[in-house]
Amino acid sequence: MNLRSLITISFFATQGVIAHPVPFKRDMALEEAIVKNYADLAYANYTDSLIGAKELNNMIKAFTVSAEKGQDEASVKLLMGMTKETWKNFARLPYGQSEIFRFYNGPVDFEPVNDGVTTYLESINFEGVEGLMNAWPLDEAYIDYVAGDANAGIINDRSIPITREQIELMNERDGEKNISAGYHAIEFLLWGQDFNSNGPGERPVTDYTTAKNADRRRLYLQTLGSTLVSHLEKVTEQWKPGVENYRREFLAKDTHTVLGYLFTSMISMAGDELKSERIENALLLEDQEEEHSCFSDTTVNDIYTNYLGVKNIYFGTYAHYSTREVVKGASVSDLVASIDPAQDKRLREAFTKVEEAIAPFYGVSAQDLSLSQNQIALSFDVAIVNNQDQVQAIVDTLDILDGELQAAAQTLGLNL
Amino acid sequence: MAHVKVGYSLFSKPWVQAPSSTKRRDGLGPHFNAVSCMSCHRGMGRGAPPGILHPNDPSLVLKSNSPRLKELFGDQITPKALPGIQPEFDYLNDFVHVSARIAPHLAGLGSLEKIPSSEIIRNAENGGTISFIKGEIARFGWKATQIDLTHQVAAAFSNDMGITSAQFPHENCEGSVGEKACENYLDGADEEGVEIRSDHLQMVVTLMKSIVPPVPVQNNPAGFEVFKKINCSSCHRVQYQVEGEVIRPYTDLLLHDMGDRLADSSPEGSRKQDRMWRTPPLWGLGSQALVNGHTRLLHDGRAKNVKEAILWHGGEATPSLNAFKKLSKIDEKNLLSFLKGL
Repeated sequence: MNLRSLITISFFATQGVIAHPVPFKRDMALEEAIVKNYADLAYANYTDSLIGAKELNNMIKAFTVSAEKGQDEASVKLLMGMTKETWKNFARLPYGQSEIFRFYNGPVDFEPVNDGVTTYLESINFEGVEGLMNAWPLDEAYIDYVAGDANAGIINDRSIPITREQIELMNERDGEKNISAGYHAIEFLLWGQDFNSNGPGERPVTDYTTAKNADRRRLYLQTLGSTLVSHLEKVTEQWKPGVENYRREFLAKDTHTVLGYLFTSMISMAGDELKSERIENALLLEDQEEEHSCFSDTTVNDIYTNYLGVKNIYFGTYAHYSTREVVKGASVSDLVASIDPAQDKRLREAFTKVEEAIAPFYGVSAQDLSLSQNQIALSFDVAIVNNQDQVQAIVDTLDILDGELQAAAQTLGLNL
Repeated sequence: MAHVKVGYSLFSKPWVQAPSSTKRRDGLGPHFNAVSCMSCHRGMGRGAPPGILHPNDPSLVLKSNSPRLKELFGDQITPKALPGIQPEFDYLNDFVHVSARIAPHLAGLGSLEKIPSSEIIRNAENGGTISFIKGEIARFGWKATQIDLTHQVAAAFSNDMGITSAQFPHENCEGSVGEKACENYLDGADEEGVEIRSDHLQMVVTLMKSIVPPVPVQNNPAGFEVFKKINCSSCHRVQYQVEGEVIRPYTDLLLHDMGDRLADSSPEGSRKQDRMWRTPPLWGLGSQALVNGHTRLLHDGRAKNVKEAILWHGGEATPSLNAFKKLSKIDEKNLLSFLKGL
């Protein structure tokens, strides 16, 4: 258990679930099948994210090289637009779902624990990369110019070399976080700060062609793209079947321990992370840009994909964004239904309720929600100001989902 | 509960340089020790000096302890600064009179705030000095310089992260070194003209109040008897009635002269104010190793463990220290086990 989860758990201990003997015979074959399918989902989801990151990296190269070579502005602008679309869809939609694989010290957010036991990841000195890929809030003025300071940031300080090592070093300088890498840094460099109450940021294409330090901005963006790919490769490798890695150790764990991880991550994501940290806090702090993808105004996608991550785990399924291929296998839902069908039904209803609350943000009904088809109709930053009831509805339905997941964990006799 | 979680978010997430899109979270620096409260108060627990857990652990801060240093740097000497500002640590080589302070643990602060002032006044009848700040009893901080949690939290935002508030509306630019560059820096002021709005600061305070007092991890009744017998309990007062509940923080919340060895260094040698320390609560000793991964104690983290911390006692605590040194092996063992269980 890492320190962060220790705090969260001890601190919000009111939600704790106590282990108790279960009045049913455990179906070990089903439990093992669920664990195996979960590992397959993780591998599928990270593979999909990696494909998206590679697409993004290729687009970044195409865009920045054309900008460097002085191609006509209309073409460069077109490529910049295509890069943004790639970030929004191919890169972010799979990654958002993969965030469910945090919260139990698995590969993505791994930190060594000094407990006398050497785990596989500790034995290879593995370092979690979540902070380098998806940390928030971004330290914008640490990276590039911002409104009010035209010379801010690493990009405008020609004395700092722009290399992967340098960026990783500066992302957590002196053990502290100055977030300057990952998805949101790329987002900032593509969209720029968002000063529109009704649309995303509008970074001019000239930032990459004729503006001061355009060369360094191109290099910074390229470096972020390739760094993201290598970080995702690192995590994906740990879930790959048939090799010596984290997955092998994971599959050998006691199935109740793993089911505990699954519920911890579903509950943490639905409750503390998505409901509280990402949505309710934004309402309470009364700030339009208190949202995770504030430059591109795609926070609704973050909310939906984070939610889908929870749903994927419960129903044991993952749909590849890039290939539309579907992975499906034994699920937590099967297990809950085999012991307490009414509990499974309540959970299914809770999932539907969340979807009913999210659907209006895409301008569709819950039945028509589709990651690959729908476009955001109501952005989160607008809703925070004008449609607070609709934002609150997501909070309320996630709260119900959180509660039902905790009840299901208790039904299964899990010690979280 | 929702407010507690906002408080936790403001406590744990890094603050960023202004101006930034996330305007509720900008305004770091220009001078600062750390970018978040969590950097020093890991797990809501006690900080460690650099090198124990992390080579650049920010949880030890340096206070100016001579008039000349104050003139140059203001009250606190910070290691970090935003780009374009010279960090104050860069000037430090020639100066020596600084006082180190470690980040204290935060559990139970809400209960300490509820202890009636009359109880603190009563404690002073057995010795010890009440700390008055602007006529009010101050009970928080290593030197009992903060009256209440709002004041304490606002002071930490200002001193340690350079975040302005209604209580501390000015950037920490005092001190002549680099003052001009510091004052010219853009700040993250919002509609109230400060970097953390009052209601948001209150959410962090609500978070502090929601952290329940530490629960003892083991009992040692024989050790407790020794604790009382050698009079530790005269300053580390065991319990209070607070709103119908019994709390056991083991402190009288008073200042005591702890002798020269614990004193801050100052140009005039050890002055009375340098030797005065507020009795720190002992609750939480039992969970420190688990929560924070170390057993360092005292205001600058110099003591490696409970026994060393006791041996550093002096001044008003000298009789108890002498009694401790004369304890039988078994009594000492019980006492230490009792303390390590709190």
